Amino acid sequence: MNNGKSGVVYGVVIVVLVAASLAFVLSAPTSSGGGLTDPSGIKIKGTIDQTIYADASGWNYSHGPINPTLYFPVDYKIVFTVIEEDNLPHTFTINKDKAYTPGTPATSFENSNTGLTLITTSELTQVPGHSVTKSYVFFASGNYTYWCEIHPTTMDARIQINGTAESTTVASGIVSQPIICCGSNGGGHHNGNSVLSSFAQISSIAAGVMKIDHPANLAKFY
Amino acid sequence: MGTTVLLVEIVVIMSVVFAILFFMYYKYLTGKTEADYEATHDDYYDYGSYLRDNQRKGGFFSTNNFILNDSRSIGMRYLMTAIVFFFIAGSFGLLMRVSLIEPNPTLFANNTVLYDVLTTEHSILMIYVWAVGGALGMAYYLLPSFLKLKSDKYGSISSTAYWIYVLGAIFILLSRTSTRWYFYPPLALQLNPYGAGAYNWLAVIGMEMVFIGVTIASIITVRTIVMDRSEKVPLTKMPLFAWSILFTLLMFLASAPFFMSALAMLFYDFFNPIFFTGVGSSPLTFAELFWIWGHPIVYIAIIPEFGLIYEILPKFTGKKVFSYNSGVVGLALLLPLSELVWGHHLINSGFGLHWAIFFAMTSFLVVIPSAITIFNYIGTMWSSNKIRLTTPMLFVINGIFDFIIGGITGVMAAMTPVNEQVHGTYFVTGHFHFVFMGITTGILFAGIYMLWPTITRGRRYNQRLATWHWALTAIGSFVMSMGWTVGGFLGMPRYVAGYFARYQVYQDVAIAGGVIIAIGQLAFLANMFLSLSQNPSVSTNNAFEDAYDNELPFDDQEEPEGEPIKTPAPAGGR
Repeated sequence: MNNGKSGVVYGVVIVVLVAASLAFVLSAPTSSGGGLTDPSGIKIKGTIDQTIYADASGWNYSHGPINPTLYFPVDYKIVFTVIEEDNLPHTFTINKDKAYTPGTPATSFENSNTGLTLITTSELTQVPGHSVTKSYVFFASGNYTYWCEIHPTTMDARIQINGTAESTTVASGIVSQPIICCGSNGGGHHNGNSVLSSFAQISSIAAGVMKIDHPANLAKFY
Repeated sequence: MGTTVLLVEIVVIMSVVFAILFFMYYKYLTGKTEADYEATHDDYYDYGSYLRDNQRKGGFFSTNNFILNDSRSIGMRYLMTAIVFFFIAGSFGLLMRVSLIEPNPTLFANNTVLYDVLTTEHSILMIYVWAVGGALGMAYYLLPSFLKLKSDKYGSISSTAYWIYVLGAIFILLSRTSTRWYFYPPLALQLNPYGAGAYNWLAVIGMEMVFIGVTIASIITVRTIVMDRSEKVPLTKMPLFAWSILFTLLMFLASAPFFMSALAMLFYDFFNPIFFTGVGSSPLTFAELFWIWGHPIVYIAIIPEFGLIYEILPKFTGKKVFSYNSGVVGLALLLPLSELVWGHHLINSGFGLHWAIFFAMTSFLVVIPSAITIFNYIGTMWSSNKIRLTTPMLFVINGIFDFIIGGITGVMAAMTPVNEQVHGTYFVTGHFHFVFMGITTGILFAGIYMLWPTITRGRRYNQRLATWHWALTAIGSFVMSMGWTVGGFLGMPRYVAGYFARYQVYQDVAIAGGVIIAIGQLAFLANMFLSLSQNPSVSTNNAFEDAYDNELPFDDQEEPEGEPIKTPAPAGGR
């Protein structure tokens, strides 16, 4: 320590730390496209608007059937508009890498770390009538769950993604573009990993044909 | 993994941790006992002051600084951390520049949010770790001899403050936040894991930790200056650097609580948004709370360097400071005025004309103390017979030059009509970097060069490399900031990963400047390697302390390895 070599060590430490910090920061999770350019790689077949009312007694509590099951085709961008109904905080969370299996209690998803909170309590303010719009694309068929993290027992429902056009029925949704869908991976069973890399969120509002990075590149963002 | 295996692993890890902690405590206790004995033997006030005054034994760039708790070791810690983070944040800045070589994003074409992350980390780390940390390091290192302190009894608290501070800085780096350095909600509240703001909450915690650390250090340092000063140093003859540190830290203590409380409320807003994004509240509230702190911080980052210039100038001009009293008054006037000008950052956020005029007027008033200070420097140099253009002096001259440009552009930006034009453009960035590259960075490097023989235990720096470091930093920062200033005046927006093609010439000029600066810093790094691989050849005398007739027991001989320095202490210690 006294021969002065520690100073050289200090210089080496600087160089190493700079390299490590650059590598660390440049590996930051980013939204696809980063917000400025359109993502590229995967085609979205259309856009579907879906409005849901957030009420502590259940989704759509005062608007039709409570906790409705939503049916969407695969590879469509689903634009969720969540509207605040009471004065309570809500989230709009979907399980992102596990399909729902019938008979399993919904809490098994809620307690897992696989939920993707599309709309947070910070975004959906507690003013009745306030609405937040976020979009999501399901690239794999199957059954999913959507729930509110604050009220998981009451606000808990299913999303069914069908891969084929024949079996697709769109309930309480507006199809803004004709369905020309034929899922390449439709209908079949799949393990968690294939689902993990098979869908991505689109932050851009632009409709029509959109492109996204290859799903394999997106896997690290989950 | 079974529960038993888990438990066994936990037990093993905990045992190892406890063994290491016990060993560290044992080493600390034996060392303290030894130092206590030596201190009593050598008639020192306490072991902290003994360690402080015999710091040369451990050397400057040494890991000992992270173990010993005397004020010089802590000052060294702050300086070493500041230099490390300067290079880290500087590399972020360089990468940002290079990514802007084309109007459309090239380097970050598919993930432009990385540009936001780099901007945020560059600004936060440069301001809070390089500028504030460097100033605190200089204060801890220089004040004990400037004020002829006898005791050194707050070492453990200062050390705790340092560790909280550096952990906060690391948290900020780990958070990879993209909120800019002002944490405006609702952007800061985005918790979506797909954006780069997934760990904004970590950045908020890190920010609070930085504030807690600096607040503790500020209180200790203010107490040191005001109460622990030796009777030989009356307030009217206190070194100007001590004055500048006193005003800086008072300014910090007066304005930091606004942002600290705003951050606490922001953290609550992550879970229940009632303060800034809920009903009956406004994000502008946060902006106001931030800028009440955010403007004083830019003075906090330059006033210690003003004080350092006052200490460097007499050394190389051979004259005393032109006017000590006006120097103190100039620094003191910045204290109240800086608290009153924060609104000029928000002039076109809907304050209304009356407030805009008020804040524009106070911004003009800040020119008075700044000009007093600058004319004081010029007067000192003017009255000199011969100015020695050493590296620190070159940095000082360049700092004065850059500060004049940066100050004038700053006053321009504070004018209400001009502000409408240049708000949110690179003009502001250019103004800021003129001041920060010239004063903060340049003068901190000047101080490091002044201290070089002391901190490297008697090695001289390579004069040619140091001159290159100065020249490249000065030219590069001028070219970069001027490119931004001119482009920004024509409307080039800042904080975006791309730009309109008609601004390409200004951006490319700024890129050239940024690359030149980066090469200059490589010269500094090379200088450190070269200098430290030599054998000690010069006195380890602290150049800053010469002017204050400091009867430190200096001897120019290299001490034998491991042997403690036995020096006759003056009666009553020091």
